[in-house]
Amino acid sequence: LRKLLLTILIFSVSALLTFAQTGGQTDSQASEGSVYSSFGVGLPVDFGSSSARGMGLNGTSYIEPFVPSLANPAHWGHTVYGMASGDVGITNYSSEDNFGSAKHSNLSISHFQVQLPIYKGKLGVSASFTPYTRTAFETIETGSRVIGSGNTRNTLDFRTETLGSGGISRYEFGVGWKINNTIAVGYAASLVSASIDNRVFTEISDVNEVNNFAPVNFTLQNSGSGFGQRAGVYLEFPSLLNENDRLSIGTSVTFPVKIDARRTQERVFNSNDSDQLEEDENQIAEGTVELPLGINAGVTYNPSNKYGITVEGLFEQWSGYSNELRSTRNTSFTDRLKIGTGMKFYPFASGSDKFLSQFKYSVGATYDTGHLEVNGEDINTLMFSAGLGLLSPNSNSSIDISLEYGFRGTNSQNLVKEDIWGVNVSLNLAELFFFRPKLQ
Amino acid sequence: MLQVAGCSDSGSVGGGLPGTGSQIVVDSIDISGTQVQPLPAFSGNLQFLSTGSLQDPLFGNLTATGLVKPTLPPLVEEFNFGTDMTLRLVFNTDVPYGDTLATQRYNIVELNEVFRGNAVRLNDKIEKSTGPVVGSFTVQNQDSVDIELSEDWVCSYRDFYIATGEDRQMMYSRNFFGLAVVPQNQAQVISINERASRFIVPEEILEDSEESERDTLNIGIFESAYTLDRSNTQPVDEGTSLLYSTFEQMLEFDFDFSLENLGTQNISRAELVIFRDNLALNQSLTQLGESAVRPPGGNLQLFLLDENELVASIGPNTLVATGIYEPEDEAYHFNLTDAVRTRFFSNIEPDQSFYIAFGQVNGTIRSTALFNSQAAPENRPKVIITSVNTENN
Repeated sequence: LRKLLLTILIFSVSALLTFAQTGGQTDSQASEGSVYSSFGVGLPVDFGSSSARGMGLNGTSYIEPFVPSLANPAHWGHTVYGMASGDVGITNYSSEDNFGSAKHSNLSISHFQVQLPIYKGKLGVSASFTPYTRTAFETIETGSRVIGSGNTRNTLDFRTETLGSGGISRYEFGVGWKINNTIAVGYAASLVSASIDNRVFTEISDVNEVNNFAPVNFTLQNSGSGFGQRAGVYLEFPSLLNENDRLSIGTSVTFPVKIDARRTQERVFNSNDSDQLEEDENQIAEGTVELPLGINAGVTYNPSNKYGITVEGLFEQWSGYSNELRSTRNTSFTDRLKIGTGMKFYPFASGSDKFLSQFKYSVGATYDTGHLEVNGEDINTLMFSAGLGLLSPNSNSSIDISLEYGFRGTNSQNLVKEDIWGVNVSLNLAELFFFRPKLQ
Repeated sequence: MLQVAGCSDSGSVGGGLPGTGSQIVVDSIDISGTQVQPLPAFSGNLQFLSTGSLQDPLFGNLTATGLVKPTLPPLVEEFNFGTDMTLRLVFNTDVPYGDTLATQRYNIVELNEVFRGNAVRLNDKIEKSTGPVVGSFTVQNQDSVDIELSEDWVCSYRDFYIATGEDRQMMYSRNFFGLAVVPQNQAQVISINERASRFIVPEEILEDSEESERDTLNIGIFESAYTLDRSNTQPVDEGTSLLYSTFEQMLEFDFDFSLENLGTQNISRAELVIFRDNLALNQSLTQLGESAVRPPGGNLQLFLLDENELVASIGPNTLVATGIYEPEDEAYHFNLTDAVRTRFFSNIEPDQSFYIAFGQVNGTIRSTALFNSQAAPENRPKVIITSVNTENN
């Protein structure tokens, strides 16, 4: 039965990928995400570990032995098994405002991580690729302008379509050290790389239908890199109220990052003597993008190996965000606070052989004040999450499936309210070949 | 109104979100330093040749003399070439120039020197015979005329026709000079369709011939040209320049079309606009006479030329754009969008300049008056750039 479930799961993942790829080829909407990702450097992406994603949290305060973690560098000190993980997900947005509604979907591969023990259970390292922010949107801006006067008076209508893609990514390497059974610390350094493209396509037409206006087609490329650092502390207190319980506290700090960035414009136009498209590139700005300080802290209490409850908070000081490359478009960046709680239930830990006891279950909810204030309104997000973990019958590897459903934004002040639902599938490989311990 | 939307099959949202500030920007940049550039243009072997004379209060006293030389067809021994020969001139009625109710008189006289159509320039002086006229005719609102040519001239042509030596063609080219169509009064300038016009020779019927039908020999035009004497041009306002389809005068200017100078890369349309001085045109036409007209229409042409090779290089290969007259703003508009967007003007040599010419050199005489860079600011030639400002994207 387990094999059957795994087969169904693999089929589902394949179908998900196929759906997304097909959508990407035939429908440009498939690559779009939240309309709010058009501001700044995009929407922040929170990812700590695939098991915590089922609760909507990062999981900075708990460790799952067979699932790699990026939530807290201190976790790497507890590494016993060689592990790797990666994921793919699709998020759908149903947006509405006072004027209409729209639907978007976005497929993404959000992270890849390898976590290895250097000294089992004492010292471990991690190398990973994770998104820091993500930009995926389409905006359409229309307007008109009256030119000339008298007989030459004319009204020009224009329509500017902007497709944003990319984001800021983090290529990170770090080390974690478990000092003793209670405390572990960790540090990670990263190359923070920005690559955000806004493809702008403008068409102009006039009411006199002269139609000798050429479309303006160009891509604004924002790119750059900086040095990022994270540090974390993880505290674990076993047998606090009884023999099997455990209290763990974790916190990690993401230090501000200064990205030396440049903004270039790549222009696309028809060649003078043929129908072929030509391109040229021109740097139009250079400057610094400063990403804010972030603090993630949480507490997890496990009454036994089967249960766990986590409370977590994330603070990001987006009021300190600055971007010398582009204006803020009348939008304020405000400090972001995300709080959440979740529970997990691991019935397999009891050794039960019942079918439903062979999975990992998790559920949670978060509230995010957001980092944007648009038209005087905070763009906050309420999200509910649920997770299901499938364990490999022959190893400690697993697959985590998480579902999320929530709301972002508001209809007031003519803003956009988004209903969001998403599916994410993570593959967690444990006991990587030569790192498999001889004794368990 | 600005609207921002995230869009999909089912609609769009986001009308209340702050936009990227996209807007259309229209910049107008005056062209400075325009100069009138004379050009000794070629005027032979064109589609038309002009002839006639008139006094144009704006464009001066014009006297155009047409030059034609018949071809020398192969000898047909059975054809009896007599002393009768007619010149049929077919006119281009699309370009009347002058008093349409007046009669223009012409004499056809023999030339005293050889002319080569491809080498004749407008201001060349081709010597004419002072001997008796070869023919005469008048023109008033007609599309063609047949002119009986003098017996002496026909006989001199016949001598070359009936010659049989191997140097027959060479001797004809060197020693037979052709005819000039010389205006005798000042009323109109007409243009003759060179390809439709021809010499017609009816076969002479000998008294002892048994044939009753006369054959006809149609002889085309071997060389054609016209010369133009323009004098007494009245001074015009310093803000107005006169241009002719003969390229006697062109408008020269320099302009930096680089995207850096234009201040934007997001160009949707780049236009060169040159305004026509319709007041000068209309007032002078009234003075020319109530029934007077000038050839209608005519576009402007923009060339990019090396000033040291103007005559040799001007032509279709160096044509950059054509300016079309739009009555709404009384201006010629050149669409330079593609040229600017593709940086076509990025490698201009120091000796190269832009030249505006009027019409086409096809043998007709058209004229126009343009406002130049010394005109009132609103009338100066200008480059108008329509671009999209999306700086907040």
